[in-house]
Amino acid sequence: MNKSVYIGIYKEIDSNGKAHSVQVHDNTNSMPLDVETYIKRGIKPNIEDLPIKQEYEGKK
Amino acid sequence: MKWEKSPYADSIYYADLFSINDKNWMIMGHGKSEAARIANNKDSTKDFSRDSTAIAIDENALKGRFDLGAINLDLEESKRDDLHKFHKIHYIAYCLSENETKQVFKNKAPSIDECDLELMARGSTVFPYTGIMAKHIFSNEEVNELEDITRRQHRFSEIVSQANDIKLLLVPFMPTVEEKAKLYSEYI
Repeated sequence: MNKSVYIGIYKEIDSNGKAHSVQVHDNTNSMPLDVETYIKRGIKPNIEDLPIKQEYEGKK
Repeated sequence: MKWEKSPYADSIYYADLFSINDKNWMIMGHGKSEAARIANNKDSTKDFSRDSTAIAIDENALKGRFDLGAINLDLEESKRDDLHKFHKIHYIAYCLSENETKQVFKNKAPSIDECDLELMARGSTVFPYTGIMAKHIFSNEEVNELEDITRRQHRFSEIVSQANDIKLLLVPFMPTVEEKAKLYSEYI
Protein backbone atom coordinates (compact mmCIF):
# COMPACT_ATOMS: atom_id res chain seq x y z
CA MET A 1 0.00 0.00 0.00
CA ASN A 2 1.46 3.31 -1.06
CA LYS A 3 0.47 6.56 0.62
CA SER A 4 1.39 9.98 -0.71
CA VAL A 5 3.21 12.16 1.78
CA TYR A 6 3.81 15.82 0.99
CA ILE A 7 5.83 18.72 2.31
CA GLY A 8 5.31 22.37 1.38
CA ILE A 9 8.31 24.12 -0.20
CA TYR A 10 7.11 27.67 -1.01
CA LYS A 11 3.91 29.63 -1.68
CA GLU A 12 2.88 31.95 -4.50
CA ILE A 13 0.92 35.07 -3.60
CA ASP A 14 -1.37 37.44 -5.51
CA SER A 15 -1.08 41.24 -5.67
CA ASN A 16 -2.89 41.48 -2.30
CA GLY A 17 -0.32 39.23 -0.64
CA LYS A 18 -2.75 36.32 -0.37
CA ALA A 19 -1.43 32.82 -1.05
CA HIS A 20 -3.10 31.17 -4.07
CA SER A 21 -0.80 28.21 -4.70
CA VAL A 22 1.71 26.13 -2.78
CA GLN A 23 4.58 24.18 -4.28
CA VAL A 24 4.87 20.78 -2.61
CA HIS A 25 7.26 17.88 -2.83
CA ASP A 26 5.95 14.32 -2.61
CA ASN A 27 7.71 10.96 -2.72
CA THR A 28 9.21 11.75 -6.12
CA ASN A 29 7.95 14.99 -7.69
CA SER A 30 7.50 18.69 -7.06
CA MET A 31 4.09 20.14 -8.01
CA PRO A 32 1.73 23.05 -7.27
CA LEU A 33 -1.34 22.54 -5.06
CA ASP A 34 -4.18 24.96 -4.47
CA VAL A 35 -4.40 26.45 -1.00
CA GLU A 36 -7.68 24.75 -0.08
CA THR A 37 -6.29 21.29 -0.83
CA TYR A 38 -3.06 22.07 1.02
CA ILE A 39 -4.97 23.04 4.18
CA LYS A 40 -7.47 20.20 3.94
CA ARG A 41 -4.70 17.63 3.67
CA GLY A 42 -2.95 19.17 6.68
CA ILE A 43 0.34 19.41 4.80
CA LYS A 44 3.22 20.86 6.81
CA PRO A 45 4.54 23.50 7.35
CA ASN A 46 1.54 25.81 7.77
CA ILE A 47 1.17 28.16 4.80
CA GLU A 48 1.99 31.26 6.87
CA ASP A 49 5.39 29.72 7.72
CA LEU A 50 6.38 29.01 4.11
CA PRO A 51 8.67 31.37 2.19
CA ILE A 52 7.22 33.24 -0.80
CA LYS A 53 8.46 31.87 -4.13
CA GLN A 54 10.70 34.88 -4.79
CA GLU A 55 12.29 34.61 -1.33
CA TYR A 56 12.82 30.90 -1.83
CA GLU A 57 14.40 31.36 -5.27
CA GLY A 58 16.57 34.18 -3.95
CA LYS A 59 18.17 31.76 -1.48
CA LYS A 60 19.08 29.21 -4.14
CA MET B 1 16.66 22.71 -1.71
CA LYS B 2 19.10 22.40 1.17
CA TRP B 3 18.44 19.54 3.56
CA GLU B 4 20.28 17.88 6.42
CA LYS B 5 19.81 14.39 7.83
CA SER B 6 17.29 14.06 10.62
CA PRO B 7 18.79 12.41 13.71
CA TYR B 8 15.44 10.65 14.15
CA ALA B 9 15.16 9.21 10.62
CA ASP B 10 15.28 5.67 12.04
CA SER B 11 12.11 6.08 14.11
CA ILE B 12 9.64 7.58 11.61
CA TYR B 13 6.18 6.06 11.15
CA TYR B 14 3.11 6.75 9.04
CA ALA B 15 1.20 8.62 11.74
CA ASP B 16 -0.47 11.90 12.66
CA LEU B 17 -0.06 13.71 15.97
CA PHE B 18 -3.08 15.62 17.28
CA SER B 19 -3.98 17.10 20.65
CA ILE B 20 -7.55 16.16 21.62
CA ASN B 21 -8.89 17.32 25.00
CA ASP B 22 -5.35 18.11 26.17
CA LYS B 23 -4.05 14.61 25.43
CA ASN B 24 -1.68 14.03 22.53
CA TRP B 25 -2.62 11.17 20.22
CA MET B 26 -0.23 9.53 17.78
CA ILE B 27 -2.64 8.02 15.26
CA MET B 28 -1.72 5.34 12.72
CA GLY B 29 -3.62 3.02 10.44
CA HIS B 30 -6.66 3.46 8.18
CA GLY B 31 -8.68 6.70 8.09
CA LYS B 32 -6.49 8.37 10.67
CA SER B 33 -6.78 12.09 9.92
CA GLU B 34 -10.28 13.46 9.32
CA ALA B 35 -12.03 12.19 12.46
CA ALA B 36 -9.14 13.30 14.66
CA ARG B 37 -9.19 16.69 12.98
CA ILE B 38 -12.90 17.02 13.84
CA ALA B 39 -12.27 15.83 17.42
CA ASN B 40 -9.65 18.54 17.92
CA ASN B 41 -12.07 21.16 16.55
CA LYS B 42 -9.84 21.67 13.48
CA ASP B 43 -7.41 23.58 15.65
CA SER B 44 -4.27 23.88 13.49
CA THR B 45 -2.18 24.90 16.53
CA LYS B 46 -2.84 21.42 17.98
CA ASP B 47 -2.29 19.56 14.72
CA PHE B 48 1.38 18.76 15.31
CA SER B 49 2.21 16.23 12.61
CA ARG B 50 0.63 14.67 9.57
CA ASP B 51 1.56 11.41 7.90
CA SER B 52 5.17 11.23 9.03
CA THR B 53 5.95 11.24 12.74
CA ALA B 54 9.26 10.49 14.46
CA ILE B 55 9.19 9.10 17.99
CA ALA B 56 11.83 9.25 20.72
CA ILE B 57 12.10 8.63 24.44
CA ASP B 58 12.98 11.34 26.94
CA GLU B 59 13.29 10.34 30.61
CA ASN B 60 10.71 7.57 30.12
CA ALA B 61 8.27 9.91 28.39
CA LEU B 62 7.37 9.18 24.79
CA LYS B 63 7.52 12.17 22.47
CA GLY B 64 6.86 12.71 18.79
CA ARG B 65 7.38 15.27 16.05
CA PHE B 66 6.76 15.90 12.36
CA ASP B 67 9.73 14.48 10.48
CA LEU B 68 10.32 13.49 6.84
CA GLY B 69 13.78 12.07 7.44
CA ALA B 70 15.57 15.30 6.50
CA ILE B 71 15.34 18.89 7.68
CA ASN B 72 14.70 21.73 5.21
CA LEU B 73 17.42 24.32 5.82
CA ASP B 74 15.67 26.79 3.52
CA LEU B 75 13.05 27.37 6.22
CA GLU B 76 13.72 30.10 8.77
CA GLU B 77 15.33 28.57 11.86
CA SER B 78 12.53 29.56 14.26
CA LYS B 79 9.87 28.14 11.91
CA ARG B 80 11.92 25.00 11.38
CA ASP B 81 12.29 24.53 15.13
CA ASP B 82 8.57 25.00 15.63
CA LEU B 83 7.73 22.56 12.81
CA HIS B 84 9.96 19.86 14.30
CA LYS B 85 9.26 20.49 17.96
CA PHE B 86 8.71 17.37 20.06
CA HIS B 87 5.41 16.84 21.88
CA LYS B 88 4.71 14.37 24.65
CA ILE B 89 2.56 11.46 23.45
CA HIS B 90 -0.15 10.17 25.79
CA TYR B 91 -1.85 7.66 23.46
CA ILE B 92 -0.75 5.64 20.45
CA ALA B 93 -3.77 4.63 18.43
CA TYR B 94 -4.10 2.30 15.48
CA CYS B 95 -7.21 2.83 13.33
CA LEU B 96 -8.61 -0.48 12.16
CA SER B 97 -10.01 -0.90 8.66
CA GLU B 98 -13.64 -2.01 8.28
CA ASN B 99 -12.62 -5.67 7.88
CA GLU B 100 -10.18 -5.55 10.78
CA THR B 101 -12.93 -4.03 12.96
CA LYS B 102 -15.27 -6.94 12.12
CA GLN B 103 -12.53 -9.43 13.00
CA VAL B 104 -11.63 -7.76 16.30
CA PHE B 105 -15.05 -6.80 17.60
CA LYS B 106 -17.20 -9.54 16.01
CA ASN B 107 -20.66 -8.97 17.55
CA LYS B 108 -19.50 -6.53 20.22
CA ALA B 109 -20.30 -2.83 19.92
CA PRO B 110 -17.15 -1.14 18.60
CA SER B 111 -15.26 1.05 21.04
CA ILE B 112 -11.69 2.15 21.67
CA ASP B 113 -9.85 -0.81 23.22
CA GLU B 114 -6.35 -1.28 24.61
CA CYS B 115 -3.90 -3.64 22.88
CA ASP B 116 -0.40 -4.94 23.49
CA LEU B 117 2.89 -3.58 22.19
CA GLU B 118 3.54 -6.47 19.80
CA LEU B 119 0.30 -5.82 17.95
CA MET B 120 0.89 -2.07 17.86
CA ALA B 121 4.43 -2.59 16.53
CA ARG B 122 2.98 -4.65 13.68
CA GLY B 123 0.46 -1.87 13.03
CA SER B 124 3.28 0.66 12.86
CA THR B 125 4.57 -0.91 9.63
CA VAL B 126 1.32 -1.64 7.81
CA PHE B 127 2.23 1.35 5.63
CA PRO B 128 5.68 1.98 4.11
CA TYR B 129 8.38 4.20 5.59
CA THR B 130 7.31 7.85 5.17
CA GLY B 131 10.62 9.66 5.56
CA ILE B 132 10.31 10.74 1.92
CA MET B 133 13.17 13.23 2.03
CA ALA B 134 15.64 10.71 3.50
CA LYS B 135 16.30 9.17 0.10
CA HIS B 136 17.64 12.51 -1.15
CA ILE B 137 20.31 12.72 1.52
CA PHE B 138 21.02 9.25 2.94
CA SER B 139 22.95 6.64 0.95
CA ASN B 140 21.04 3.84 -0.81
CA GLU B 141 22.26 1.36 1.80
CA GLU B 142 21.06 3.60 4.60
CA VAL B 143 17.66 4.08 2.94
CA ASN B 144 17.25 0.32 2.52
CA GLU B 145 17.97 -0.05 6.23
CA LEU B 146 15.54 2.74 7.16
CA GLU B 147 12.77 1.12 5.11
CA ASP B 148 13.30 -2.41 6.45
CA ILE B 149 10.08 -3.60 8.11
CA THR B 150 11.74 -5.84 10.70
CA ARG B 151 14.08 -3.06 11.78
CA ARG B 152 11.19 -0.55 11.96
CA GLN B 153 9.07 -2.84 14.13
CA HIS B 154 12.00 -3.61 16.41
CA ARG B 155 12.84 0.11 16.77
CA PHE B 156 9.21 0.94 17.53
CA SER B 157 9.06 -1.67 20.31
CA GLU B 158 12.45 -0.63 21.66
CA ILE B 159 11.36 3.01 22.03
CA VAL B 160 7.77 2.52 23.19
CA SER B 161 8.70 -0.16 25.76
CA GLN B 162 10.72 2.46 27.65
CA ALA B 163 7.74 4.80 28.02
CA ASN B 164 5.84 5.12 31.26
CA ASP B 165 2.25 6.21 31.23
CA ILE B 166 1.45 5.42 27.60
CA LYS B 167 -1.73 3.74 26.36
CA LEU B 168 -1.83 1.64 23.20
CA LEU B 169 -5.28 1.75 21.63
CA LEU B 170 -7.23 0.17 18.78
CA VAL B 171 -9.77 2.50 17.19
CA PRO B 172 -12.60 0.79 15.30
CA PHE B 173 -13.84 1.73 11.85
CA MET B 174 -17.03 3.77 12.16
CA PRO B 175 -19.59 4.47 9.42
CA THR B 176 -19.01 8.23 9.60
CA VAL B 177 -16.06 10.41 10.59
CA GLU B 178 -18.33 12.21 13.06
CA GLU B 179 -19.02 8.97 14.95
CA LYS B 180 -15.32 8.20 15.02
CA ALA B 181 -14.54 11.73 16.21
CA LYS B 182 -16.99 11.19 19.07
CA LEU B 183 -15.02 8.11 20.15
CA TYR B 184 -11.85 10.22 20.41
CA SER B 185 -13.61 13.08 22.19
CA GLU B 186 -15.21 10.82 24.77
CA TYR B 187 -12.18 8.65 25.46
CA ILE B 188 -10.60 9.25 28.86
